[in-house]
Amino acid sequence: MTKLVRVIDMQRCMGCRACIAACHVENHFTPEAPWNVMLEHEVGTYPNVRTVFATMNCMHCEDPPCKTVCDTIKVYAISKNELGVVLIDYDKCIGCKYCYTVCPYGVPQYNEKVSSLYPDKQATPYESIDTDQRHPTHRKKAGVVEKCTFCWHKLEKAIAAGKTERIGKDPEYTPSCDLVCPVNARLFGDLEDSDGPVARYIGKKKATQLKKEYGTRPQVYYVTEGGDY
Amino acid sequence: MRRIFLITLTLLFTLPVMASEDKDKQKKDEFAKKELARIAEKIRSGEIDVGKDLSTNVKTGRFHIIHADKLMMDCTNCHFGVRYRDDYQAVDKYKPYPPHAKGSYQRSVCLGCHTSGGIATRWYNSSTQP
Repeated sequence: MTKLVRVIDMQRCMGCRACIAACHVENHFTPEAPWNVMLEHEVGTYPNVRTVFATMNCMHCEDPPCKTVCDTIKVYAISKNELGVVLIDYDKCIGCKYCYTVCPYGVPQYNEKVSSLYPDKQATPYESIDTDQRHPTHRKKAGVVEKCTFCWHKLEKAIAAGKTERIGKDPEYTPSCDLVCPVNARLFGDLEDSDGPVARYIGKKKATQLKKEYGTRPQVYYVTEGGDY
Repeated sequence: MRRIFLITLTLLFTLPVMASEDKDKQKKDEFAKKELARIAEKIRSGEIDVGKDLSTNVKTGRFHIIHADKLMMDCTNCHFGVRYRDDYQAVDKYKPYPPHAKGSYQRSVCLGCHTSGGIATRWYNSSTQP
C-alpha cells in the first residue's frame, strides 16, 4: 500500500518561492485561488533576527475534515483516492465554503472569479489553453473551491504506466513544486518504503505534522526548529 | 500569633464561599453544555429549521444560522480580535454583526465541539476524552 507524503524542511527553506512559481505554471492557479502559499515570520531579537519560511499546500490528511463535512452535507465533491490524494470534483462542488471553513490549515481556496494573472494584458499561453484540453483538476471554474492535488495529473500517469514505485524519483511522476527547490528543502515519496529517502529524512530530522491536535493526520511533514512535538 | 489567627479565620470564612461558587459555576457550565447538546441534536434531526442555504452567508446561510442564531454563539467567539461598535449597547436593539468581522477567525474554537466526544458533528478526529 502506497502512502505518499511530502517533507518540507523549514530549516533549509530560504523563501525563494520557486515552488509557488512551479505550482502556478503546472496547475494554472489563478490569483484568486492560490494552491501554494508562503508564510513567513521573523524570529529572534535585533540584531540577531532571521525569517522563517513555511510553504503551505494541501496536507492531504488521512482523516480530512473537508471531506467529512462535504459528505455530511451530502455534496460528495471531495474524495480521497487509493494513493491518499484528496481531490475536489469541480462539477459537484456547490461553493458552500464549508471545507474552507473547517480546514485547520486554511488550504481550500474559493475561486470567486477566474481572473487573469495580468488583468490589463493579454492572457498568458497557459491561461489560453482550452478547458477541454486541460486535465479535470485544471478546469477553472468560478464559484468553486480549489486546492493542491499533489499534481494528480502526474501521479495518474505513473499509475497508468504501472510505475507507482517511481513516484518521487522520476520528474514526470513527481509534483512540480518538489522538483524545483534549489536547496532541496522538499522531498516527496512513499512513506511505506521504510528504507526510502522520505522515511529516512522524517526519522533523521524528526519531521512533524502541523496542528496534530486536530487529529487529521496530515501527509505533509515539516522539519521545524523544535523537532517533533 | 495574632496574624496567624487572623489568616486562619479569614480562610475559614472565605474557602467555603469559594468552593460553593466553584460548584455553582460547574453546575451552570454543565447545564449550558447539556442545553447546547439538546439544541444541536434538534438541529441534526431537523426539528429546528435552519434553512437550506448551504453557505457561510451571514443572513441566509445555515452556517451562521446554526452557530450565531440558534446556538447563540457570540461573533467574537470565533472572530477573535474584532470589536463591536462602541455605541451598540446604547443605539442598537439587537447585537449587530461587528464591522470587519468577515474572514478572519480562529479554527481552534471549532475543536471544542467538533471533535470525537464533542456535542457537535465530528469534523476532527482528536478526542475531548482524557
